[in-house]
Amino acid sequence: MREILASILLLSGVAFVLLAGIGLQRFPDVFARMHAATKAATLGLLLVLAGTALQLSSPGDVAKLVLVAGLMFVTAPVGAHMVGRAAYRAGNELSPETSVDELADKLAAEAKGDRTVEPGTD
Amino acid sequence: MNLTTLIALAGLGLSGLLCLVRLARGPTLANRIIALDTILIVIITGIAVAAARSGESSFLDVMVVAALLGFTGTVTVARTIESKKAK
Amino acid sequence: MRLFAGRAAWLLAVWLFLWEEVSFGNVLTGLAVATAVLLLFPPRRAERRGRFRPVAALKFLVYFHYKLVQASGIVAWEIVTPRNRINEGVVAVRIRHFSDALTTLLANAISLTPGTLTIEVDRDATTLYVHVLHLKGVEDVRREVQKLELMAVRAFGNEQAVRQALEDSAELVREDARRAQEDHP
Repeated sequence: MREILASILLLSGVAFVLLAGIGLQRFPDVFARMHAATKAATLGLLLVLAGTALQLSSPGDVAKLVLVAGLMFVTAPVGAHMVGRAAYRAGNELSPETSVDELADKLAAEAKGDRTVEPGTD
Repeated sequence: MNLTTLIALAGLGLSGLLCLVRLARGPTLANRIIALDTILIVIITGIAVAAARSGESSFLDVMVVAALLGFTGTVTVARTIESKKAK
Repeated sequence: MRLFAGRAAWLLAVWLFLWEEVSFGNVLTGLAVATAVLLLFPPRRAERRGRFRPVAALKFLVYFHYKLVQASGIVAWEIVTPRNRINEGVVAVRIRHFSDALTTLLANAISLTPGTLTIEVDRDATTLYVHVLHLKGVEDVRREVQKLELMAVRAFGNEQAVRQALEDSAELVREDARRAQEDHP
């Protein structure tokens, strides 16, 4: 019974990681790809860690898996944020389907030395 | 369980391959670092599945180190992109 | 001193997790390492200490996990269906700056919830710039973030923060009611 549950967790986790890989191919620009990588891959990893914890149930191993889960939880979004910020500032274009871009207004205003522009209040 | 882990490892291999494609294609450095980050997650997942498959848990420490180093690497490259406008 | 003890306890817990067993020697070396780390890299003093409310924290955690699963489900759906349903955008959201920790928690939570990803934080930490995958309405995004913020503040903020956040949310409810009245007079 435990093995069946662990198997389900493992397979669904790997499915999510596979979807993340596919998403990296299909999404039109770098920011959308970050969505895929951060959310899908992290959840996939969490599922696999849960399945493995179920399979090897000695407390030491489970402790390590919990540690890695917590670590990924905290570092993955931060990593994505930093890459996104850097990519935006370095000029990666958003895909042509982007409709709203309020950060551009702010950065343009900053470039002109005008710090009083309040984005999103128009 | 053996069959499950085999399928799981195959799926992970496929995902890694797709990430490698993005690594090669991705027009900018940002794309490539995201692909690398995903490959890192694939590796960590692979270690967990391998541990479940063999029941051998002595290499779970590698997972912890990989997660930490991967994060450090990603942040470092992100700062490089930002400072040098290397895209 | 209490702050130091709390942080040392966290480091000790991680140390024990890594060594897999709680023995006398492990605890001793763990404390030594934790002390050394905290002395060598002193953390900044926490500004405006928040409080921890277990019930609200639990609600926040549950909501957050529900959103996380929903997010991955949505992303999975998007990956599989044709790509012309994506309509991206970057939205600016004003938030209340209570403490760096709370802003960080909020930014991380946003990155893990459906369709949103924080890509920039204003220097004074009053505005978050959020990249959205399906932009249906700018106000919807703002409301979602403010809802998340409210739950986080109720779980971890101090008194003043909670009071301010509740004021904002009352305004939000009134705004919703007014808008509903405009649509269906």
